[in-house]
Amino acid sequence: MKGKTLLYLLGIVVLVVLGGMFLRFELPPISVSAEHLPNMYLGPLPITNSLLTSWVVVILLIAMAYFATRNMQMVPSGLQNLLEWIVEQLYNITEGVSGPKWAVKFFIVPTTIFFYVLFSNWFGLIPGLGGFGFCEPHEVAGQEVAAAEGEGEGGGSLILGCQPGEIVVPIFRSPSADLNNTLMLALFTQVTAWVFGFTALGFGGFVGKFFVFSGIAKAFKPDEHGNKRNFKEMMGQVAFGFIETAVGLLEFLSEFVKIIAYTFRLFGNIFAGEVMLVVLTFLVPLTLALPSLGLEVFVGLVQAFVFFILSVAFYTLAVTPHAHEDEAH
Amino acid sequence: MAALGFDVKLIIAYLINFVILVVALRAFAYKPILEMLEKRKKQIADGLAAAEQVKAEAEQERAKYREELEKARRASQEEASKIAQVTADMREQILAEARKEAEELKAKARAEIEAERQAAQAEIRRQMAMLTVDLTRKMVGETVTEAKQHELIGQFLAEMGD
Amino acid sequence: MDVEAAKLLGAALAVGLGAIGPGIGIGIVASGALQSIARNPDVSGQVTANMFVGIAFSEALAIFGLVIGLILLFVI
Repeated sequence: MKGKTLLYLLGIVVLVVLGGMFLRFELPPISVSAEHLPNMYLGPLPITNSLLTSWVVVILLIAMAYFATRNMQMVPSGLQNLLEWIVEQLYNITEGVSGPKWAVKFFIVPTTIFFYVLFSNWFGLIPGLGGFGFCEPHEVAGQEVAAAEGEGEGGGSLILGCQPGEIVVPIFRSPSADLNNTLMLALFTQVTAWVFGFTALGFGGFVGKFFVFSGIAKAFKPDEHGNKRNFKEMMGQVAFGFIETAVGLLEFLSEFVKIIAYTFRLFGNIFAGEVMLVVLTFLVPLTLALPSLGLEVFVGLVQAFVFFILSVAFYTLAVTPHAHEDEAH
Repeated sequence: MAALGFDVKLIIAYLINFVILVVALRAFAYKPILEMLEKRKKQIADGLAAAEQVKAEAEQERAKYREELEKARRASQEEASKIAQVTADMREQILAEARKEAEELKAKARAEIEAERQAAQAEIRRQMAMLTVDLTRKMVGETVTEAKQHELIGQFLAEMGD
Repeated sequence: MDVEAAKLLGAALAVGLGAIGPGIGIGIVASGALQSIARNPDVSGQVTANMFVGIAFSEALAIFGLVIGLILLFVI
């Protein structure tokens, strides 16, 4: 037992040393935005590596769903079983949060987000995929390189084949590490939440949740016993109503803050994870990044679930009529 | 914002992507799966209901059997009690008949005795009347006519009768 | 101080300091959720859902720090 542990340790040390000797590479420049693949346009649309990955993810998901439910069995097995299990679990969670009446409507978009985000997150984690790409002249290093070489149209498409002045533009990048994608998901979720709110509460009910003036107006009406309020009572009621109004306005603001939070939560988690993996690989090749890779797989799952549960919860909040006890929910 | 990579065209491209995904997954995954879950739930419920029904039927059957058994027991009991009744009735009847017969015999005997007594009484009366007539004749002498004699006997008998 | 250096420092401080409070907050939320699940495992689904909502509200603050950091680095 002890000898085996020693052997493992020795193996790790050897890997570290060998990796340090032969697998040194430059730290690739870290780009917040998704990189544009050279010379690839779809009409006016510049195709970025994240968009390409997003297409791949969508095609994969649709294919998976299609093959899983192609011939449904009463007693499920294999892919159908897995997909059914996930969908059933998510549906039950939705039902638990928002009740059976709304669950059927609510659960479609969040569940799709769950699958989409999960596959996006994990796609970016496949080891080695970030190495495949086109060689591009480094933009910051010098403009003269770009002028001299022209557009390297996938000339040497592997990392090893790049010229010293060039960097790799990977073909695949997790869509979750692209702000456009996460912003789209955030907007989509919030807009659907507003639509649900409007349809459930009507225009007045939904807007009335955010612009609450009934508290202030109450101050100038007689109280519930029909007595006229004296000045002190009136001022107290005005202050109370003012707080209600302010809370409503804050909630209105938070509807837009949610968009930012959705966008940057997903982006921040996934992008930071990938940057961490790159930096760790740069520091110690082969070994150090491995536990972090496991962690990132877990983070990807958690973020997908968080996006799912938050959208379900905010949908439920959106259709809940304004009442004081609902604040605690 | 362009420095962070925001681009409306890309957002729209992602949006189209996502909407396609929503529609496709709804058609390929959620609808059939939820239907299947519903179907399975229904089947389980049906199975449970069927089992419940079988159980209820068995229970009913058992109740029926028990009732029949009870009925048979009651019928036999009734029969037994009827037989007992009949025997009791019969006994009663025989007894009553015997008693009646005895009564009849007794009544007949009494009637005979009565008749004999009557006959004896009549005999005594007649002889008494004869004696009286004889005595009277002896005392009065042969003066009484035949008609007078008869009248006297009648008178006497009437007095005696009381 | 160089403006570029100030930007880098500012971004690092925004993210680093901004993560302290939400870190503590998320810890409190998760601890409360785990305690309640340990006491009453039947409601774990409900508690988990609400826990994530609470975490999201807390985490939003850290995300603001991240946004400020990104804006400092790349936009300004």
